[in-house]
Amino acid sequence: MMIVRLAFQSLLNRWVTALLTVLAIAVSVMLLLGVEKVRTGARESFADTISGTDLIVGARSGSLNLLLYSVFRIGNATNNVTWKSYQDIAKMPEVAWIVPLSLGDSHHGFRVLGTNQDYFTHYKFRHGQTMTFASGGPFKDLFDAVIGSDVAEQLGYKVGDKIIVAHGVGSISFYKHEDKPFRVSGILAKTGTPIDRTVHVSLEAIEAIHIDWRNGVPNPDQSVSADEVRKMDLTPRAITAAMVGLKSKLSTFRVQRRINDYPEEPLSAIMPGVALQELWGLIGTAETALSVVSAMVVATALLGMVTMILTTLNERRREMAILRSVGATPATVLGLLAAEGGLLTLAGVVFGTVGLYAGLYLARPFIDHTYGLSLPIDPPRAEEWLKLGAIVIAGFLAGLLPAVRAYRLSLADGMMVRI
Amino acid sequence: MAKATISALASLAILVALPVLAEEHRQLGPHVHGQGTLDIAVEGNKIEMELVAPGMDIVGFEHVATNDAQKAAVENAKAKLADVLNVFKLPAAANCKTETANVESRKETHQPGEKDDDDKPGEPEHSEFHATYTITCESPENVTGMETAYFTDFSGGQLLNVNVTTSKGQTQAQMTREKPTLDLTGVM
Repeated sequence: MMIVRLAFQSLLNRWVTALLTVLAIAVSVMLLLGVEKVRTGARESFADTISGTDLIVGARSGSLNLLLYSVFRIGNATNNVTWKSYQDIAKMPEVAWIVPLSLGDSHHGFRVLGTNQDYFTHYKFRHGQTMTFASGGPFKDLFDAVIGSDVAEQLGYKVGDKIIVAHGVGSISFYKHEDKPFRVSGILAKTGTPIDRTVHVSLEAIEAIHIDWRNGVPNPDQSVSADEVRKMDLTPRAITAAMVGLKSKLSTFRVQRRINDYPEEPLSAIMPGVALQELWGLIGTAETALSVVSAMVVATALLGMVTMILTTLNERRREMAILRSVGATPATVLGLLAAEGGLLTLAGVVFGTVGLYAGLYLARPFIDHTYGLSLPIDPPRAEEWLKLGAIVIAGFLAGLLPAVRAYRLSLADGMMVRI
Repeated sequence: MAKATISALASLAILVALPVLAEEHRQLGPHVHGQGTLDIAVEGNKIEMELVAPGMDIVGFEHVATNDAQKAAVENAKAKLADVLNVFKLPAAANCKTETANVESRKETHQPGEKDDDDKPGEPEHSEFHATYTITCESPENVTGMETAYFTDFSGGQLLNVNVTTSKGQTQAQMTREKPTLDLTGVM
C-alpha cells in the first residue's frame, strides 16, 4: 500500500505528463469499447428494421441484394415483378397477406415508395411494433402521400402541404412529375428505420404519374392531366418487390421453394432474417478489422506510457537515490515503478469507460437522429470487463519494463549523484 | 413494298415461333458436395424439418446404385436418416416425438448439350437425399438447441446450412463437423 501511495505522490509531482498519458489511454479505451457499442448498435438497428414478414419476393437476384433494396432502400432492383405474378402469389392458399412495394422515384433525395394501405398495418419493426401516425392518416385520395418523420423534419412539411415527386432516385433530378403534385395526408411517427426517410404513395399514384411518360421522359404530345388520370385504369403493370406474410410458419420453406421455382417468371423469395444473417457473415470481417485496429490503438497508448516512464527515469535518479538512502530496497524501487504503470493504466481505463458512457449519453439522441442508429447504454458485458482487466494487467506489466531498468540503475549508482 | 411485307411477315413468324421454342422450362438448383441444407420451421408444438444433402455426402456416390453393396448403402442411409431424433438430437426436456419421416433419393437430370466427362448427356448425374420430418414436442419452449450426429453418421458431410423460422423470428446458422451443434435460444 505504501508503494502505491508513493507512486501516486510521485505521479502527482509530474502531473502534466501523467495526465496526458492517462488521457491517451482513456481515449484508446473509449475507442475499444465504442467500436463494440457501435457494432452491436448497428446490428440491432438492422435486425429491428423488419419483423413479422415471412418472405420478401422480388426478381431473381441474390438474397442480400433483394433485402437491401426492398427494405433498406440501398441499391436498386435488377428487374421488376409483373403484376400477374404478384397476383398469383397473392392467390396461394398459404399466403395470409401480401404488400406490394414499388420503388424508383424520389423526392429531394428521399425514396418514394408505392404501396397500398396494408403496408401500414403489416409492416412491423422492433419486435412487432407497427407504424403510428404522428399526424394525419394513410392516403385516401389518389394523390395523397404519407411521409416519414425525417422527411417531414428535414423538409419542414406538415399535413396538407403539396409536394412534387421527381423521376429517378438522385437528389437532383431533371424530370419532375410537376403536373401531378401530391398532398401530404399523414406524417409517421419516428421508427428509427428507413421508413423515416421514405415518401409513401399508393401504387395507383405511381402508375398515374407515369401514365403519359414514354421511355423515361414526359411525352409532350400525350399529356394527361391530374383529373383525367383519375378516370383511367391504373392497375400497375409491375412492382419492385412484395412482402409476404404466411398463415403458418410451417409453410415458409414450401412457399419459398414454390416461388423460386415459379415457371412463368424468374423470381426470388427470401427470408429476411436469414438474409440478415448472411449480411453479418459478410460484415464480420470488417468488424474484426475494426476491433483489431482499436486494440492496436490501446497497445500504442500503453507503449506511449512506457516511453513516458522511461524518459523520466533519468530525471528521477535523485528521487530513487533518496528512496534508497531512507532504506528502500531495490525491490521497492521495482515495485514503485510497476505500480506507477498499473496506476496510470487503471486511471486511463476508468476515465475511458466513464467518458464513453458520458459521451454515449450525450451523443445518443444525435446519432439516433442523424444515422438512425440507436446505441445501447448498457453496462459492459463480461467480455468487455475481461478486455478492461487485460488492459490494466498489460499496463502493469508494461510498467515492469522501466521498473527493471530502474532496479538495475539503483543497484549501480546507488547513492552516487553525478552533477 | 411486297418485299418489305414478306420480310415483316417473316420476322413476325419468327417472333411467334420463339415463345414456342422457349417454352421448355430450364432451371437447376445449386449442388455443392460437402454441403447440405436443413430447413426448420416451428409453430406451436409442431416442428417441420427438411434435409437436402448431396448423395456424395451421404453414401459417397451419386450414380444409380448398381451393385448390392451400393444398394445396401443407400438403404442403410435412408434408414439412418429416417430416425430423425437420432440424427438431429433435440433436448430431452422438450419431450419430442417423430410424427412422420420421409426419406427419398432423387436424381437431378443433367441438361442435354452440356459437356460432361463421365456420363452421357441426358443421363442422371447428381443425386440428392431429400428427407422431410414432422415432429411434435410437449414443451417446445425447451427446444433451445440441437446436436447432430449427421457428421459422424455420414462421412462425406462437411457442412449443414440451417435455416430456421419460428414465431419469434428467423435465423440462419451453420453446423459443421467441428461444431455439430445449433443454438436456437434467440428464436425459441
